[in-house]
Amino acid sequence: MEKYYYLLLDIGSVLFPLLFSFHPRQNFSRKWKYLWPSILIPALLFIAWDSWFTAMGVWGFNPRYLTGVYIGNLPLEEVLFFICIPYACIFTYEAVNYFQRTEPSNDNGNRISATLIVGLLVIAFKNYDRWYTSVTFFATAFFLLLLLVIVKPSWLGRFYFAFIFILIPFFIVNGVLTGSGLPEPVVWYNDHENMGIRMLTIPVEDTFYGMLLIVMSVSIFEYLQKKDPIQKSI
Amino acid sequence: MIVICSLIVIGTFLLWEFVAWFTHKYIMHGFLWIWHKSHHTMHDHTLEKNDWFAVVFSIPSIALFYFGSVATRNPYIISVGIGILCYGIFYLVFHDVIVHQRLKWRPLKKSQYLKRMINAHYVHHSKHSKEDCEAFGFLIAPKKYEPRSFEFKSERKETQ
Repeated sequence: MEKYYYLLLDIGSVLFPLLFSFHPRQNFSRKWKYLWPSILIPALLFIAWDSWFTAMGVWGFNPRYLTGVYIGNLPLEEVLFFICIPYACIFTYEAVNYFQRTEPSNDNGNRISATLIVGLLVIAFKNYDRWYTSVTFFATAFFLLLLLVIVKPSWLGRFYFAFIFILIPFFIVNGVLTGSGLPEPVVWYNDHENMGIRMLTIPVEDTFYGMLLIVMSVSIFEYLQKKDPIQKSI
Repeated sequence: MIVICSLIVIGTFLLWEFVAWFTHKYIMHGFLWIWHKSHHTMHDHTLEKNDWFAVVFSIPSIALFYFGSVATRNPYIISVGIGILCYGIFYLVFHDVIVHQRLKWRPLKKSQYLKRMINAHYVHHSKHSKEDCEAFGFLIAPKKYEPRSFEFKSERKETQ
C-alpha cells in the first residue's frame, strides 16, 4: 500500500475539484479548453526544471512511496503532480472568484507584487549559491516583474486573494510530501541547496515555487479567456 | 563573484543581439532561407517552419545550463546560459508578441525607442524576398528607422 502514497496524494488533490467541475451552477468543465494549455505549458517548464534539479541532487524521491514507474529520471507521480495540482489550484481560483462578491483591488495586487519582487530578489542575491533558493526566487521575481511592468493584467488582486485559499491544501499536500505524518519524506531536499528554513517539514522555498507554477497557469488561463470572442460576449 | 556573473549575463545578452543580427542577415537570409521563408510569407497557421530556429537557439542555452550545473559546477558557464535565456525571452516578447502579434497583446504605452524598434522590423518585413531586405537587428534600431508617424499593426498578417 505504501507504494501508492504519492500517487494517492496526486489523485486526492484533484479528485474533489474534478468531481465539482460538473457542478451546474459553476460548470468548470466548460472552461477546459482554456485550461489544458494553461496546465501543460507551465508543466513542461517545471518538469524540465524538476528533472534538472533531480539530476543535481537538489532534491530526490523516496522509492518507498513510489509505484516504480519512471519517465526519464522523474517518477510518474512527480510528473502527474504538475497536472493535478495546477488543475486543483485553477479550480480553486475560479471558485474563489465565483464566491467573491467584491473584486479585490488590483492596486493591492500591484503593491503585493512590488513587495514580493524586491524581497525575493534580495533573498535570491544573498543565497545565490543555493540552487533551490536562487533559481526559484529569481524566476518568481522575474515573472512577477514581467506581469507588473509589461503585461499589467487586471486579475493580480484576484490571484493573490485566491492564493491565500490555495495555500491551505498546499500546506497539507506539501506537508505530507515532505514527511509530516510519515516515517520518511516522500520527497527529500538537500538542505545545502535551500535556506534550511522549514515550515514544519516544508522548505519555505516551496511556497514561491508553488506560486510561480500557479501564477503562470492563471496568466495563460486568463489570457485565453480574454482572447476568445465567445467568452467576451458572455 | 555575483558582480562578475551579473556582468557576464548582461554582456552575453548584448553579444546575443550581434549573434542574432549576424545569423539573421547571413544565415536566415542565406542558406537557411528554406526555413526563414515561411516567416516572410502571409499565412494563418499557428506555427511556421521558421520556429525551428527557436528550437535550435535554445540548444546552446540548455547545454550551458547542463554543463554549468550537472556536469561541472561552474557559475560563469551558467551566467552565459542565463544571458542567452534572457535574450530569448526578450526576443519572444518583442519579436513574436509585440511585432508579429502571435499573441494578441501589446504594451499600452510605447516609448519612442520601442516604436523605432518595431518600425525597423516592419521595414524589414516590407520585402518578402531572401535578398534586398534591410534592418536585420532587433534590440538596436538605428536612427534612420525612426517612424515619421507610427501606426501599430494589430493583425499578424499585416506584419508578415
